[in-house]
Amino acid sequence: MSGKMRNSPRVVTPPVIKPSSVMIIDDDREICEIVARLLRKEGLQVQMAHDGNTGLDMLRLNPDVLLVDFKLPDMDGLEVLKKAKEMDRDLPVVLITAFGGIQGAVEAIKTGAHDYLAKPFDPHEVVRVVGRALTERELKKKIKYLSSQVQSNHQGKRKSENLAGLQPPQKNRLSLLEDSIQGQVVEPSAWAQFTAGFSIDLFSGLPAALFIAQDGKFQVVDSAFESLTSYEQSEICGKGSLILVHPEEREQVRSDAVEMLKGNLRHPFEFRIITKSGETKWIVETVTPIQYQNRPAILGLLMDITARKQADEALARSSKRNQLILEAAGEGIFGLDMDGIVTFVNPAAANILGYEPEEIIGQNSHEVMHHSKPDGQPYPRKECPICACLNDGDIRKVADEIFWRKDGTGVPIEYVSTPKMEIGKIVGAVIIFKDITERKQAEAILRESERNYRLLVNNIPAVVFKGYLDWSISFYDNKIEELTGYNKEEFASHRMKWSDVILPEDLIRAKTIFKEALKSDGAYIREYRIRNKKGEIVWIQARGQAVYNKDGEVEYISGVFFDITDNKRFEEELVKQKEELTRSNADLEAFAYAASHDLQEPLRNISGYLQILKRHHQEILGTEGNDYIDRAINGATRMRTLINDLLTYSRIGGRSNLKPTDCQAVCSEALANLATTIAKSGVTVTCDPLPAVMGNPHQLVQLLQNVIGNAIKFRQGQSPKVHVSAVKNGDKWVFAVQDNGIGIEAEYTDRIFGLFQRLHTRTEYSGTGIGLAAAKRIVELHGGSIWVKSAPNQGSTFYFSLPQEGGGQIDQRS
Amino acid sequence: MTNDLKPIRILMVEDNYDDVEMIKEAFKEAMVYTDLSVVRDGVEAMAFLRQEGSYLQEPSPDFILLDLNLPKKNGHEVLTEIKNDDELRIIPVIILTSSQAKKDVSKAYSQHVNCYIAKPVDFEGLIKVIQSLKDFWFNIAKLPGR
Repeated sequence: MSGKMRNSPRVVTPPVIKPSSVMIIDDDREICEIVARLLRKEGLQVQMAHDGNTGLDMLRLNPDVLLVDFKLPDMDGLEVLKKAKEMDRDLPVVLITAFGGIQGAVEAIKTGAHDYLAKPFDPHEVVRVVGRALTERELKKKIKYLSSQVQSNHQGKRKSENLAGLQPPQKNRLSLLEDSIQGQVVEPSAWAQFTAGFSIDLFSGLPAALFIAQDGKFQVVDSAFESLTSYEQSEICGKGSLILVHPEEREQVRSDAVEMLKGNLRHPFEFRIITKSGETKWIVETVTPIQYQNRPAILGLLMDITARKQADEALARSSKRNQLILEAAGEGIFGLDMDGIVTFVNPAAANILGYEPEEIIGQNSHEVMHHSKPDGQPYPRKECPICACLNDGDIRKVADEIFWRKDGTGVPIEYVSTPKMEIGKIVGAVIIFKDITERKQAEAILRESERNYRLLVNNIPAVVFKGYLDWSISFYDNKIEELTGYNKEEFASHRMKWSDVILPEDLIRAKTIFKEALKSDGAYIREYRIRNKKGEIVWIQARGQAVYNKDGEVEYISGVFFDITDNKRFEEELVKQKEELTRSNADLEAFAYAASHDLQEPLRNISGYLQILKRHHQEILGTEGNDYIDRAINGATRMRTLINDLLTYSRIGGRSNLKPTDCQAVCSEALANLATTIAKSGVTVTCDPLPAVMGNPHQLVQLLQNVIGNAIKFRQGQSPKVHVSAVKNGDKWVFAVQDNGIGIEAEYTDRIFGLFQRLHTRTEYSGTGIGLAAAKRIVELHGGSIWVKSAPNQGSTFYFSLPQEGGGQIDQRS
Repeated sequence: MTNDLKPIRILMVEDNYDDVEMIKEAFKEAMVYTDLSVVRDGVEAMAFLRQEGSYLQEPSPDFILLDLNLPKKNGHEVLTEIKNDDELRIIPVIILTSSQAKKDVSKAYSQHVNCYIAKPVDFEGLIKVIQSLKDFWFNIAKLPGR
């Protein structure tokens, strides 16, 4: 360190050291007040004017910085800027611009403005911009002062007059400076003293470093320079003046310095240096041409602006980030001022609304895009959440509204309206919105699907459930109440589990079925009984499917319950009926057996004892008595035949197993059974080759036997004939038994197949009237039919159909 | 004719008294010398054969005429018991019944009945049957008890 404290008792306050003052010209008094309050807090004096002329007048007060609004009642900010610059070339002027007024700001900078502030202000930004302007102002002042001192000295004026109040050491230093500038040899130690004092006294409070460079090399540096760069004077002097500059910026610094020396560059220029310790620092430099030791040299002033630069960079990064976010955001974002005028709009917002950004900026958002409600009714501002947000500063979130596009269509949106606050005051609002068309459509589809699903759930005759491994269960509607008497809330409350209603004796089996299902694909069907709220038994069929989570564990079971109580009842009834049928068949069989045995015994006794009577007392009875006995015996015999035939008829049926049956063989057997009858009657029976059919062989024998027997019985004439044939008709064989007998009158052709129906007296033709009825029954049991074509004395043809081999609709009647 | 001196002991199991009388008559007509005992149901029949109760003094019959349709214990049951009894099974059993059901016939033979005869419908037929029985069983065949 230089020995500044040792050598320089503090003496003077230089003329520049006074509170800096800032002047604001803005017609918005509120903004003036806000800014003034901010700056005063920073220890600055503030003057205010609300129009251009007044402001210009007040420039007499020599403010250090001037803030001017772009729009003033009497003139615009640029005009004030020009006039102020005419009055004080070095006065930093900061233009205050409105939103988006970047173009104006650029114009202002070109015109010579130091900087600009965009409304609404960030308080830190205000302080920083003003601070920067003040720094520059100070630098310029100091350079000016220094130059004037050097200049006046050079011109031979008395230094003491210009530096009134300076103590001798300062004078010495100044003369030292003057000497060196004029090319006189200065002792290094004296120079050290000079620079120390110079720095302390003239630039106290500012981190300004001073150097003199000549021929591109440092000649003189002060102690502030030493602290700034960490180089000792002895180390740095004689080195190239660009040595400290960051390598990337050397060229630029050299050319800026040249421009400044030519008078083309008025602003100090900023660049980076690398200190001896390797630290990078941001520097603002001002250079002035001077004479040093009678040759041209440069007097340079450096100030460390690293902190400011870092702040600027942070700000730039943050605004760049903000800008990027704004640009990239999928949500529409726009800003409003207090009047609801759009101040900015991001590309997404413009795109959603179908406008170019510049078409919306400056427009009233409510009138442009929010004028009507979805139904087309006007949307009064007093109902508008965005307008309300501007009024009361509360954040509004709206889920379902419509913004109107440029083409007049509405776009469903949700939005958040957030107030923009500046120093506790609402200055506007930012609206972030989202096009929810797709979501609305998806919702509509979902609703539709939900509706269909509900419809389905409501209409299917089943109860849809979602069950869990612990038997807790939930239902989608209240059909469960119809089924169980308990409503779905009673189950939902977890007080009741589904297992509570299942009959305990059925529960074990139900559990087993579910366990088995889990071993395969988790699908199951199980039936069990539940007890409803009234205590009645309800049969349930549950069809379920286990739904697994990603770990393969059962998450829940999805399924349906069917009420199968009726089915079960039918099933039970069917079983009961079947049992009854079996019983009744057994009864019938028992009856048939009893009939064959018990009914015949008395008959046998009647005829038996009549015969014994006749045998023992034939002579006593006489002719008449014997005749009566014979009649009685005949009656008993006929009765027995009737009983036997009836028994035979009743035994036809049962669910006879039909099998392929060769009718040739059947016919042969029937004819063999009829052999005696045929021989006695003298009838010629002939047969065509007969097919195989599906049938019960015993019944078919009886069928043919009965029909052929019937034909033989009703023969007439000298050469009675019976012919048997068969033709195929569809999937059936139609058999024909043709005779040349007595024939039947047409009106009786149906009657003859009835039980006990006879067309003739017993004296004419014997028989019980059961043969054809039995034939009909057999044919029908085979799914066929029987009919007759006949006319009296023309013979008869009996037809019956039987299923072909391999076919056969089996009539299950029994 | 070799055994004319000694009547053939026949046990008739028949609940129909009319039939009993008629069969007795038929035996007379067929000139068969019989010692005919009659019981009216299956339980009685077994008691008679096992010489139980009031049948203590009754000798074992040479021959059994058995009806199927009997009170208390039917003919099939009686037949089964007889044929499962080491002492009784040697006695020839003839079923004489009004049933012509195939079921009854095959069931009886499967229980080792010696002969199954459906009761003829008239007295003349019955005489013929008894005649045939006499010819075969009492003259041609050799019975164990005689």
